[in-house]
Amino acid sequence: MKKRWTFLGIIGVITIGIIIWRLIRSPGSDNTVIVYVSEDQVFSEPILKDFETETGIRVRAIYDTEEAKSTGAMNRLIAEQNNPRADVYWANEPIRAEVLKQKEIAESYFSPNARNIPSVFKDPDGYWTGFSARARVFVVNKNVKNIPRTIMAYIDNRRKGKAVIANPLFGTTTAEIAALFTIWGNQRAEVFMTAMKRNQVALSTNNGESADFVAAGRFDFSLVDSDDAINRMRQGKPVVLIYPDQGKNDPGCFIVPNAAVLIKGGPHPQAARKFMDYLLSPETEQKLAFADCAQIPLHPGVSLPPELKPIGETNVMPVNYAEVAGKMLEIQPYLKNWLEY
Amino acid sequence: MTIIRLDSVTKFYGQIKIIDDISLKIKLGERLIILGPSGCGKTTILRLIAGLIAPDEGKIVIEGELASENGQILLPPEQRNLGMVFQDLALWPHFSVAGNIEFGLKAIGMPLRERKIRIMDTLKLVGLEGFAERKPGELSGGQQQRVALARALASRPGALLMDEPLSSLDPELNIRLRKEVLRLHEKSGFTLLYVTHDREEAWALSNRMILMRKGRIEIDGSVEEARDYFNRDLLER
Amino acid sequence: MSRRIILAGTVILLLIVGLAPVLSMLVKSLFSDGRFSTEAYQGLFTSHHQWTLMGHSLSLSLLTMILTVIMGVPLGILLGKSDLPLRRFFIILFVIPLLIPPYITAVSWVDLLSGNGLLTGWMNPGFAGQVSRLLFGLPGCVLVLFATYLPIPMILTIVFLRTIHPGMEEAGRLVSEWNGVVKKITLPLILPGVFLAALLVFLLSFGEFGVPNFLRYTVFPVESFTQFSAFYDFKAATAATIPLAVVTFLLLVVEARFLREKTYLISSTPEARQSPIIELKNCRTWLLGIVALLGFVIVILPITALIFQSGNLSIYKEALRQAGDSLVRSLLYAGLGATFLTIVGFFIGYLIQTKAWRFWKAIDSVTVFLFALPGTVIGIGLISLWNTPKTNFIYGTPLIILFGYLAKYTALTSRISVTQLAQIPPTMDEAARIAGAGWIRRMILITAPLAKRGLVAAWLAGYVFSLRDTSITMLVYPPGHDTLPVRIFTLMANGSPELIAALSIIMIVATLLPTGIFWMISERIDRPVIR
Repeated sequence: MKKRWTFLGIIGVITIGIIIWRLIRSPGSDNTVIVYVSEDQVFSEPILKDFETETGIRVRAIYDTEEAKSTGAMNRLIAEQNNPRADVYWANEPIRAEVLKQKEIAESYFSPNARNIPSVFKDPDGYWTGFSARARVFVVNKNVKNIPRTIMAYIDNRRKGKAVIANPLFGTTTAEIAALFTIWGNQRAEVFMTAMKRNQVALSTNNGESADFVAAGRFDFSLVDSDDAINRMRQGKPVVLIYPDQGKNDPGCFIVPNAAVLIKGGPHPQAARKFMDYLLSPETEQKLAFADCAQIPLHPGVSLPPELKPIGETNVMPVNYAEVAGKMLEIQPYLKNWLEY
Repeated sequence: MTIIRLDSVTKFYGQIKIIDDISLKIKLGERLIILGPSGCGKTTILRLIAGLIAPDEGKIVIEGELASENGQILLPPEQRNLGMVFQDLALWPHFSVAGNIEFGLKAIGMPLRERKIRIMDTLKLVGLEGFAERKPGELSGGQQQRVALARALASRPGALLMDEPLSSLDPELNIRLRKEVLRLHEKSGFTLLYVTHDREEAWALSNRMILMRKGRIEIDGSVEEARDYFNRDLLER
Repeated sequence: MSRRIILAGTVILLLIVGLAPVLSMLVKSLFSDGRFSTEAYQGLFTSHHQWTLMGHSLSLSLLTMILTVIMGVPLGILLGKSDLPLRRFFIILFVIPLLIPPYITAVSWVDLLSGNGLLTGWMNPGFAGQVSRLLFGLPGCVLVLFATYLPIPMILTIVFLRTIHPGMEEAGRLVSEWNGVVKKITLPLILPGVFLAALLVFLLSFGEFGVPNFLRYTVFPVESFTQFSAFYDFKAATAATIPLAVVTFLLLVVEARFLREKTYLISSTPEARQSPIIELKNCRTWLLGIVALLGFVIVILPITALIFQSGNLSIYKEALRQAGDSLVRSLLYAGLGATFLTIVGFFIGYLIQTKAWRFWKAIDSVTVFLFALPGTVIGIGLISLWNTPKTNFIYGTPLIILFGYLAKYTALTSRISVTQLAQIPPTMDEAARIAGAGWIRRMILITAPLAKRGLVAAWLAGYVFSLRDTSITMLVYPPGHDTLPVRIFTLMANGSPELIAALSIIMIVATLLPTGIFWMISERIDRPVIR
């Protein structure tokens, strides 16, 4: 009786010991790359898996979501600055990449695969490189006769109370407003914002909700991310996708590329560069274009789904993403005030 | 030979002086009964001697060794070589009768073979042969009492402390077990320190008696002296 | 000696693992360029918005608290002391939502009630729209948190009912109807339990952010933190949690003042088994109907919704293919976490119960404070403290997740241990001391076996809460070591609803199955008979 318990005890201790040993065994092997990802896991994970099978390099990832405002990955990257654990950060927009550059967490790298990506989507110093993008587009209900073609529609008197926009304090909406501030200057942008408010624009919590509102006919149109619009179209909802401001003198359509960032002092520098090259290849862009996220390739000549048009044929808003990042910080108090918080 | 000595021991519970400057010598083989109303501090004396609590003032010497002094326990209970029977018996419900007895023998490092013999001897002493594998919950009140006694006596302690062990039993059983305790004492010759509030019990068991009131010793003497004291007390009222 | 070493070791472990990260954050936030500065704290509460958010948080927690108490206490009385049929079944049924991560309950309600949900799908579209609007907001959050935390007042009521000496109620019965007895005698006697339940529900809803985040209701913990951390200023983020800490702290003061001593004393009286039962007579049928309806709506309906939504078995195959390894890790970490939590909680509980050290109250408060603090704060603290090249064996491995569990959930296991230890007569240990046994021997052979039921309960609580944790795990898990709840959370963004539903069902099974098995085994082990 007593002996049996001692025996079981020893077995138990050994088992727990092995488990703990296995857990704390350092994964230091060079054939691994550690990636922090802010792009939705549903879309990013298959790409990482493909990389594993094609190169034999093991990918260990931390995922995050836009819903959680990417606090997981970003907070970790910054908190880990003194002892970096990540090799690469896959940001789903360039603003956070810019923050990493400014905080000296990123490392400069010019991937040979990114040569053909237009320079507007790349950091000139190589601290981040854009790829597969979302466009900020109008989702418009099919029953609307007078289709809006410019963001001026938000301040058009005839559309009073018929437009909706996601909370400008968050996500790509903040980025777009900050972008307008950079190309127009503060004064003009603030006039636009005031006019928009006077025109009784409705607010939603996020772009998905905006798109749903438009699809349900509660509002005529909204600025959303291209994937939000395409999703609703593929679900058969009565909406169309409109690229805004495509005229010669218009500001152009705001583009939000993904951004690949090499982390300074990461544990696997060789594998990290291979992974960067893989992310920035035309093949990856093509996969992301035909996945459900329907992202727009930035390499010329990559095929894309019928709802979208190639980046070369789009009038793109000419912004400096570093400036936009700075502006986002600067206009926070203004936006809070605008929201009457 | 003095086995336990208390020198001017005082104990407070908060502001209340529960033991007030008590000195006491207990000789080897004595049957000392401490009698008193509830709250007079008699249980506290047992706990002080056992080392479960420390005296605030004074010192306690056990078998010639300084055990407690001025708020400090120098010799922890597990090293005092005492046996104790608690008011609630405190039999461990998850051990069998044998397990209850064996626990202390194991703790003092007795080898297995000796332990087995000792357990059998002790069970025989209290008349519980054949109950070794029962759990305490399966025994009657009187049987549990005997287990508690056996457990306290198994390691042959220097002294046996008993804290109103029979108070919850019906009168008939109480009388029977009193006789049992006397018989055991005669047979084994241990020093007995027995606390009770029941005079009948006290008269029956003691060869030396202490009457306590409000933390002080009123009488320390023979059974007769104690009886006289009580009779006087009644007349004066 | 060994007692002092082990207790000191446990306390030091708790302080290093739990308190040190939080303190390090606090200290860092008070210094700027090496000098003392309150800069980070100056922006606090200057904007109207902060007050709005705090208002949202308070209304969510207060509403949840009031509703759960109003429903939970009568439910507890009905299930704990009346002749309602199927009482055991209902107790188990109502406890289920507490075992499931709340955001999964939220997912199930969205499946039911969102724009084209399973229920709203065949409603009049206008009405469905209204319902869905209610779901995404305060009412929806209250509904989900109500279903989740209803078991807390229910169970505490049942537990406290057992502590009432039957004589008290019987004496009342001689002069009054049951109505009067319950109102005038039973309720006042279980009041400390009711207050404790209210406090717990308030704290848990106050710190919850998975549900408000999912149902798009802006509350203080989420918004303040993400807003301040949108630009990744940890000092400001720490400052933003101060109001939370203040509210938590105030509640703890209230608790310490009015409740603590009382709630420690719960131990069921031996006579409680013969406690008088309320005869419902002709109310029995309709009360049964109400209880059954409630159980159907808040437990059975949502789970059925998930099962419907997930569709056929191939989805489960796919779900297991995508998240099978996360599931295995979850079970492993939760099991290990629960074991550590039980051991640490046992010693902390012992320290508190025996008041072995003068500062036992401080240690108790630390555990409760950490429990109430949002996990994100602890998570970031853990990173900043442990992510150094020398401590890679902690931060770079799942040990850091276990640290997180230990930091946040020790209060649960230590409190359970305290209540259990309080029920063991002190003479059990004293008898063993006099018999010559040292402290370790007594702990292993006497105290631990007698506290077995408490240890089992502590392990189960530790298991459930470790398993469902997302807030800390998400911040500290080593790359490639995510757990199932974290994976569900990240897959929720644009993942297919069928897959999410299937994963949620897997998660529910992963929680209920081990809990059930463990509980059954522990019930079969013979119960200690304490005389």
